[in-house]
Amino acid sequence: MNLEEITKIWHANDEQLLDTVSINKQLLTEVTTKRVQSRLYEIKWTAYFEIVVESFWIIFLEGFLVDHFWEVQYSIPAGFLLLIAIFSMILNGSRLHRFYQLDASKTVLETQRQVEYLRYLELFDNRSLYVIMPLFATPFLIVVAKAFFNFELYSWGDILWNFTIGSFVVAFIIGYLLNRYPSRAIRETLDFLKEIKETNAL
Amino acid sequence: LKAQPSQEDAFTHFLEQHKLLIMKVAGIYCPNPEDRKDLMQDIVLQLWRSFDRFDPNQAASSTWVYRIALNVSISSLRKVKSRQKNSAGYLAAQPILHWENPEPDDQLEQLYQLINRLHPLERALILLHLEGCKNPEIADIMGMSTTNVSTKLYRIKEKLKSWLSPKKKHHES
Repeated sequence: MNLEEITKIWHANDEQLLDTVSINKQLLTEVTTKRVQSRLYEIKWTAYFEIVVESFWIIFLEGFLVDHFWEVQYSIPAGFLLLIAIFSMILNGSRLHRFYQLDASKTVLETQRQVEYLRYLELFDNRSLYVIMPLFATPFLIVVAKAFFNFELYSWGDILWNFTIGSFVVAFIIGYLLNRYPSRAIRETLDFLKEIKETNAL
Repeated sequence: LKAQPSQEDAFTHFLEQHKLLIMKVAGIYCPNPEDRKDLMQDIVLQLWRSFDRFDPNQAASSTWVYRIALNVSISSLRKVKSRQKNSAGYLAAQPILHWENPEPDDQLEQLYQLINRLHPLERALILLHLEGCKNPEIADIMGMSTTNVSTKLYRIKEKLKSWLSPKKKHHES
C-alpha cells in the first residue's frame, strides 16, 4: 500500500458507505425536543458544590475577621484562610466560565486547547489540595477552635508550633513528590497541550 | 422549546448531507465498530446542540461539521471512560445514525488502523487531506496557517511512507 493506494481505498467505498448509513428520524425528532448534554467536556458537579461551600466559608471568615480584627493572633490566620478561599473560588469560577465558553464549532486547535486546559485545571485543583490542606491546617484549627469552642489553641504553645512545623514539612514533601512524579493524567494533558502548541507554531 | 418543526426538518436534511463525513471522522478515531457508533451518536448530538448557532454566511457547512466532528472525536478519544459511561443512556441504545456494515472492508479497516497510529491532531490533518480539502480549508478548520498545514502534511506523509515501506518490501519478497 502506498499513498496513492491509500487515497483510492479511502474513496473507494464512499458510495457503499453512504448506503449503509440511515437516519433514525423518529429518534432524531425525539432528541431535538430535549435538551442534550455536550460531550465535549463534562464539568464535574463538585465545581458547583465547591463554590457553594466556599461562599458560606467566605461569609463565615469575613464575620470572624470583623469580630477579631484587632486580635492579630486570630485576624492573621483568618486573613490567610480568606485569601486562599477567595483564590479557590476565583479558580472554580474561572473553570465554569471557560466551560460555558466552549464552542465545538470553533477551530480544532482552539477548542482542543480550551478543553485540555480545563482538564489540566481540574487535575491541578485536585492535587493542590494535598499541599494546601497541611499548609493551612494550623490557621484552620486556630480559627475553628476559637469560633466554635471559644478555645485558644495558642495556650497549647509547643504542641501548636510542633504541629505547624510538621504540617509545613508534610506539605513541602507532598508538593515535591507531586512535582517530581506527576500523575499519568497530568503528563498526558501537558503532552497534548505541548502537541497543540507545536502544531500551531511550526 | 428550542426546537421548531422547521428547524428539525432542516437538521434532518443537513444530517443527510453530511452523514458520510461524520462516519469517516468517527472511523478515524474509533477503530472499533461498536465504539464508532457511540462516537457518531455523540457527534450528532453535538451538531444538534450547536445547530441554532450555525451561520452559513460565516463558514461552509462542511467546514462547520468537520470542526464539530473532529472536536468531539478528539475529546472523546482523550476521555474514553467518560464516553462509555454516557453511552449507557437511552440515546445510545438506539442510534440516530443507524449504520449497517454489510461486509467489513479489510483494506479500509487496515487503513484506519494505520492512521490510528498517528497523533490525534495528525489524524485530523490526514483525514482532511484524504477527503480532498485544500490546504487553506484545512487551515480554516484546524486554526493553523496554510504554511503550517503544508509542512505538517509533508511530515505525516513521510511518516506514513516509512510505515508502509517495510510492508511493501515484505509483500514483494
